[in-house]
Amino acid sequence: MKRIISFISVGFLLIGLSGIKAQQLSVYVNSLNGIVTENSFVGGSRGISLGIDYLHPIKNNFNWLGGIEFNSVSWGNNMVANIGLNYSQIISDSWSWSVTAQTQQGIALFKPAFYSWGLSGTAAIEYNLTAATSLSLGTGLRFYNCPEYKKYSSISYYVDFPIEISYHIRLNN
Amino acid sequence: MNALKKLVILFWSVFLLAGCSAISEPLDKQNLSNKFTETPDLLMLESNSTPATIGFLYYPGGLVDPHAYLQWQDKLVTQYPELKIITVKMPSNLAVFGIDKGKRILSGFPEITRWITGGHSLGGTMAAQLINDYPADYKALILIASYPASDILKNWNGAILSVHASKDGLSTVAKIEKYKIDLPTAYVMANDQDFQLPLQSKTHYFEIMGGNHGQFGNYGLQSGDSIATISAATQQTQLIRVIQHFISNL
Repeated sequence: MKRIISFISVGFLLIGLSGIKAQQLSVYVNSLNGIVTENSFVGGSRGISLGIDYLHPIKNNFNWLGGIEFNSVSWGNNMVANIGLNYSQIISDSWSWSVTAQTQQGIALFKPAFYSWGLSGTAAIEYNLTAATSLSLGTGLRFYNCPEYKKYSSISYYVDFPIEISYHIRLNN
Repeated sequence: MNALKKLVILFWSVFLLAGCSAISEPLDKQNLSNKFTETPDLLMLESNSTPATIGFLYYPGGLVDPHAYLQWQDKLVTQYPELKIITVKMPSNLAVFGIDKGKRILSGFPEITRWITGGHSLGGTMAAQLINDYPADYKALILIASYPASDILKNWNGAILSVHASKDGLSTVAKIEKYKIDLPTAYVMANDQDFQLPLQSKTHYFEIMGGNHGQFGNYGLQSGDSIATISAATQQTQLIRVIQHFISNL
């Protein structure tokens, strides 16, 4: 837990220190498709997530990422903060690709709320709609866990195969 | 930034709409005596020894963790071992987002010869919608502190049991009374065995005196509910009895 908090703190610090090149705001919707839980292999849709991320360039095509996300999963609803690292590479005038590694820290929306966390790695292909906007399609792997819910349910973590559609707006274009 | 403002408002609207779910008692305190299975889609209770022939597809109340009904469901299976109870997990714990999940689950249980559906509160309302969509799949509907959203089942020829509680602050007695018009012919039961046979094309109403909305599950006092004058155990014992007699008469 201390490591996670340190990681988040360093992340925010670096966001503050890095230079501004092309900040980006992304709005996304994720279809979460189940692969495995602690008691079974699963298939099919497990829920959706909606989120807003802010991307801030560091250097050499690397960007810090922070955002908030709401997701509806098997145990109900989650509200999490995202923090991660993104690497983007331009292929042509219209196309680029990127990979993102991030952690989600937040709460499962019960009364009372439970701590929940996740880890994900995704790759996406991005198409420029205009000079300031683009659309991307991504996929990868995502693990999310609500340790406290283990007392109430046989299933408290999932590994998902997300399919993500994002709309990006470059803020200082 | 106007677009951003709208996005933030949309985001918070979704958050507020979806809300927080009431949690059940911990699993190890539920003392389940029958076979319990959980998958990402459902919770299932069945007898350890008797093969099930009747399936009860159960939709939980809105924003209630589906494990909150296991205690009385387990006792019902003990009383009626031919019954398999499948509680459907709903997106965001709101049955309105997963009405059709029940339909998909049915095909996974070919050994079940008769299906009943039903649910608590919003879950019951959505189970009624499920029957409206697939009327031939179900023999009966059990509404627990619930009523349909419209007269969709007015002419349905299955059997309906409507159980409500006198101290329910949400699905009040007045509301149950008001929406009787949307269901087939009403029969008010004098006790938990007072059924008018055959059950088909009728709605049997059973009132639990002193019970409230939340005690149809085990998730604590719900906002807007009234204080019950009987214990959750007493309320659920009466619920189990009336359901057991209802199924026996199907």
